[in-house]
Amino acid sequence: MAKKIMVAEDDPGILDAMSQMLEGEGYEVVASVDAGIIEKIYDILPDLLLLDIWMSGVDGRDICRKLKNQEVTKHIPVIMVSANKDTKVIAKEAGADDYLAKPFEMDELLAMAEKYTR
Amino acid sequence: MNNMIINKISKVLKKSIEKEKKQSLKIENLLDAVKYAQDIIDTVREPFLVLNDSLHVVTANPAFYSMFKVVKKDTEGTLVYELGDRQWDIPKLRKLLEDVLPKKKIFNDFEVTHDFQSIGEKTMLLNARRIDHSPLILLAIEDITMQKQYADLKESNEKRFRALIEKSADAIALVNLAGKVSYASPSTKSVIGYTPKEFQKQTNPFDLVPPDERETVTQLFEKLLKKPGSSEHVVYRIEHKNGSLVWIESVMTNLINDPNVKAIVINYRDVSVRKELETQKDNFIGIASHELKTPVTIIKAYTQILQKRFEKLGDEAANQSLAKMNAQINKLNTLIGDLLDITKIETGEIVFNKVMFDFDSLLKETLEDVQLTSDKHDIKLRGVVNKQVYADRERIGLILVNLLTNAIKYSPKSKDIIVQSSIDKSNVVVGVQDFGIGIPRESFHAVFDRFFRVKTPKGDTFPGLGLGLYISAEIIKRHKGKMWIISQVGKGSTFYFSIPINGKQKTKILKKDGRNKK
Repeated sequence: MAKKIMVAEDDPGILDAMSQMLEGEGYEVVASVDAGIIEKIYDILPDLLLLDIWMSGVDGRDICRKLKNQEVTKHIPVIMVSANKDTKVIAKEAGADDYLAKPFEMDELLAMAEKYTR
Repeated sequence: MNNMIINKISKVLKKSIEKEKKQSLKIENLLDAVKYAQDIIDTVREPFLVLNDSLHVVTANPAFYSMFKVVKKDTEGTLVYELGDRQWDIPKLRKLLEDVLPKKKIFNDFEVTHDFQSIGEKTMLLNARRIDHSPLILLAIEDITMQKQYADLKESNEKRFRALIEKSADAIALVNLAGKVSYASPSTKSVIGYTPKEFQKQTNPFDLVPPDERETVTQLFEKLLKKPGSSEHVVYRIEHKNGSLVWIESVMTNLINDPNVKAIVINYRDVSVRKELETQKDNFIGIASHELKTPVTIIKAYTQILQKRFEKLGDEAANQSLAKMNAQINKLNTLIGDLLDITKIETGEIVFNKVMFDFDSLLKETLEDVQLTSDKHDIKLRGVVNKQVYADRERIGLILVNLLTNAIKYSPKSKDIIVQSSIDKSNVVVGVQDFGIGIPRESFHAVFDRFFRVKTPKGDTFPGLGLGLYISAEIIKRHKGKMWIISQVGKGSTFYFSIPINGKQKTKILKKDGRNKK
């Protein structure tokens, strides 16, 4: 069964490219530019969440903290994605499992996807 | 009988002779006295006139003749007002000689300015007195034209400089050793809202600085106090009388040892507008470069997707082109990253991600990465640190990349680049040496400035924003390290940086202290 990856990223271009990369490797991608997609996480329970730090006014750090504090979602690996050079620090603070700095290397994204959905 | 008469006559004669003798002695004494007086008058360098009751000149001294360009013949016996073509017919002098003197017998230091035909305008101090029991008047004339001109000049200079200070848009304050404001210029009001008097009442000129900045400014001031002649440039905020915070740029100069000043001179101005513009600029660059990152990310992503497809299709040529495109995108991304970094450095928002890492492996990794970008150069690593270092690994890596790419860029005609690492006390020291064009000594201090760019002897510059070394130096500074350069034009440059091995230590000690106190 294909592994499910949820992508919450507010730029449609990046979202599309990421989806193409992941789908090309056989992942099932649930993606949206709307932060509201996070609410579906309880039904979908993906194997990995790629989360943009800033999604039109919604702070990804808050979402991450919330997910990591809930019994149902805390096992889902969260990778924070941002153009900010301090993504690493931010991701650590929010309790995320890893971070991906934009612009990213395709190989890097795929290696991470593999690592966290194993 | 005859004898008696003779005796008598001889007695009378004797007496009369003695009397005459006495008289001639008196006359001699008198003559001596006159000569004595005349000698004095002749010797004195001040012009001097002796007038009789009817104000005719009895005598004048050589100083008078030489100063007023007149001769004895035309002077003695002449009415004082008629001297030298009636040049002396000065109303004020007339008044003094004819009104004041008969009543008071004496007048002192009357200042007269008069334009003489022969010698031009002169300012004189006149002193006169009637000699007791004699119809003579002594008139001394002191030429104070030069002193007067000098005093006027001094006064006008003083007025001019005072006006410069008082009319200057910059406010000026003098602070004495006790830290009290001893002078505040009128512009104080336009800059910080307080009148000079109100400002002088402040117990300390830095009372108006918000508490969180006060210590920094006060420390700087105290540092300055210890070094007479030195000056400090500082930008801080001050609470305006209307309650708003204004940005102040101030230059403080220690003139304690200058006898004319004996104070710390603080020259300051309101730079709020400039600061506001700087903030806008920083924000703009920050937002703009952040916005640029999104399209770069997308272009890069699709480039890589295409690359993968061509790779699968076995189209090596297309794959190669896309790899080159990807490399250029990375370059673009580095430039954007520099712009973002510089904004963060300027706004103090830069965050470090300090970790413990093996310094030698960072050096090795970075060298290998950079070596891949140039087959014309041979990067050699010398020395072993053999230490775990606590620092921002990624940023230190970027600094190394920056130094190495600079070394490659500025040594197009030589092959070797040497990276030397070592330990100096509690610091790791890294030197990156190239054998390229070099940098003249006078530019050493400027290489770490923003926008500095090396010029070739022909005046050409190399591509780049001129931000790399500035950012590197700022990052090293924030690691409590140092960055410096040794270079010779035509021979090459060595860029060094050193950082503390255990950047953590300091914080640890502080925490421990804090606990102990509790």
